[in-house]
Amino acid sequence: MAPPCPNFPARHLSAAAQIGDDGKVRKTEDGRRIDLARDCELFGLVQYECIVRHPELADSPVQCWPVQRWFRRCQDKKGSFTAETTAWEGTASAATPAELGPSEGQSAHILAAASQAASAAKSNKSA
Amino acid sequence: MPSTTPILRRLLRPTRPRLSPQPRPPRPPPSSSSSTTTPPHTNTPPNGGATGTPAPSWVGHPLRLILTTLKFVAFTHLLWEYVISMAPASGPSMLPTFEVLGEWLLVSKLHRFGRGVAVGDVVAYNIPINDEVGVKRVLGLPGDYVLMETPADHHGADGGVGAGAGVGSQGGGGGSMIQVPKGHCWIVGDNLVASRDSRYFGPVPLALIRGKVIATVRPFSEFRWIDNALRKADSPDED
Amino acid sequence: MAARWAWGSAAAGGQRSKFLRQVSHYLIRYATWIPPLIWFNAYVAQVTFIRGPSMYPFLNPHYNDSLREDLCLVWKLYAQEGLRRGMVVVFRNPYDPNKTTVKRIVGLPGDVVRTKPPYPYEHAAVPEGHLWVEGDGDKSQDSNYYGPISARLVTGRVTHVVSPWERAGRVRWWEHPLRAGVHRAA
Repeated sequence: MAPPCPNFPARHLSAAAQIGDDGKVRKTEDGRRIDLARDCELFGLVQYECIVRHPELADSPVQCWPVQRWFRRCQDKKGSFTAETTAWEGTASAATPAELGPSEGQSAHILAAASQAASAAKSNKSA
Repeated sequence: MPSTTPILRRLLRPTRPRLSPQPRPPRPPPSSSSSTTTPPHTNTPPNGGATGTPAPSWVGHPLRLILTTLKFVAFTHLLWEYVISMAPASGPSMLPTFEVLGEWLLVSKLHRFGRGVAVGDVVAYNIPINDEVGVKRVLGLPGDYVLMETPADHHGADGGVGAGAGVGSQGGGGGSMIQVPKGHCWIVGDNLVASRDSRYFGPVPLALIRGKVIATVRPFSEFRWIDNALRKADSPDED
Repeated sequence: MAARWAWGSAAAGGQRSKFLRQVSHYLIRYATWIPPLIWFNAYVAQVTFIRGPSMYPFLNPHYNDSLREDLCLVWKLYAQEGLRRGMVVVFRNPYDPNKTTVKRIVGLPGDVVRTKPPYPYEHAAVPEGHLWVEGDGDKSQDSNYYGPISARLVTGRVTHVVSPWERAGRVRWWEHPLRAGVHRAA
C-alpha cells in the first residue's frame, strides 16, 4: 500500500523486467539485456486453496488443492532478482523461436509437476 | 544519611567471582568483623565478598537482588528480540504448512528486517494495518516481480485438479503484476483463499519483518524444520 | 573471550595475574550493565542527534551555517499509541529498514491529504493503520516520496530538545500549526 508504484499486465513482464528497482536498465554480466527464458533459472513453488470441512471442530479434515506458481531467478550485474512467471510461462512473449521445440517438453514437465503437487495435496487431505 | 553509606558500600563492593576455579576455603572467624569495616578497595575480590551471611553476596541485599534480576530480564528479553523467540500461531491462512491450531513457531530474529530472507521463506511480520503479528510466505523481495492477485483459479475454472493445471492452459498473460519497491517485500499466505496479505494491503516494508520462521513445534509431539518452498525445476533449454 | 583468558591465567597465580583477575572481574561486572542499557535505549528512551535538514527550521535551524546538530530525547515507550497530527516521530525508513527518519505527522488514518510533488496523484487518502508524514523543511524525503507509512514503523517520539541550550526544552508539537490541505477525518 505504501509507496505509489505502477502495475503492468503480466504479458509485459519481459519488458518490465529490464528495469531494476533503482530505475536503471538491468544488464547481465556480459552487458546484454535480460532474457527471462535464456538467462533465468526456472523455479516452482506450490501454494494451496484449502477448505476446512468442519470449522466448528478442532480436528476438522482439511481439503487442499495445489496452485502451482512459477518463478525465474535471474542474475544481473548487481546481483539476482526473481520474477514470477506464473502467468507468463507459455505465453507468446515467453516462447522465443529458439525454444519452440523444447517448450512442448517443458509444458509436459510442468503437467507432471502439477500432478505431483496434486498427489501431495491428497496425502495432505488425510492429515 | 549515615544509614545509606553501608548500603552503598555494600553495593559498590566487588561481587564474589562466580567463575572462581578453586573451592573457597572456610573463612577464619576473626576476619568477619574487620571485613565489614574496612573500605571495599582493600578487599581482595575472591575472599572479600563474604560477610556474615552464608548466601552468595549477589543475593546479599534486596536492592542488589532486584538489580541482578533486572539485568537478567533485560538480557533475556534482548535474546528474545534479537536472536530467537517462540510463539503460538493460529489461523487458516498458512494451511497446509501450518495447521489451524496448536502450532508453536520458532522464529529466528537474526533475520529481522528481512536480513538474509529469500523468496520462498516463511516470515513473521507486523501487519502494517493493525496491531497484530502475521505469518506468511515471502514471494518477492525489493526489485522482484510478482502477480498482484491470486494466480488463475485451477479447480474452479478448469473443472478439476490437474486436468488443466498446465501453464499453457491459463496462458494469455492474464493478471497484473507489480515490481516490489525498494525496502519492501511481497508476502502471501499458503492458503490463498483464506489469507489477508499483500494482495490486500500491498507490499510490506522490510522493517516490519520480525524474523524468519525456522521450525514448528507441537509441544511434546512434533518438531519440524520449515524450509524454503522454492523448488528448482529443470529448464528445458539447459539439457 | 579476553575475560575468560584472564581468568585462566589468574588460576596460574602470581602478582600480574592477580591484577589481570581484578581487571577482568571489573570488566565483567560492568559488562552486565550493557544489556539493561541497550534495553532501555531500545524500549524506553534514547538521546540522539538529528541529522540533516528535513525538519528545518524546527530542528537543526543552523543547518546552513554550522555543522552543529540538535540533540533530542526520543521517547520510545508506547510510541505507536495515541499518535496525533503535529507530533514529531521517529520511524524506520520504509525504503531502508536500517535507517531511522524523523518527520512530523500530517495525516492520520481516514484523512485525505493534498500532496506535494513528486507524488503522482494530487490527493492521497491515508489508509487504516497508516500515517502521512512530512518534514518541516523543503529538503525532505517524506510521504510525498514513499506514500503513507504504516504506524507500525514508528519507533519513538521526539519529546525534548536537549542541546543547544537556548532551545532546550519540551517539544510543543500541539502548538505547531496544522498543515493546510488536509481534509481531516475526525
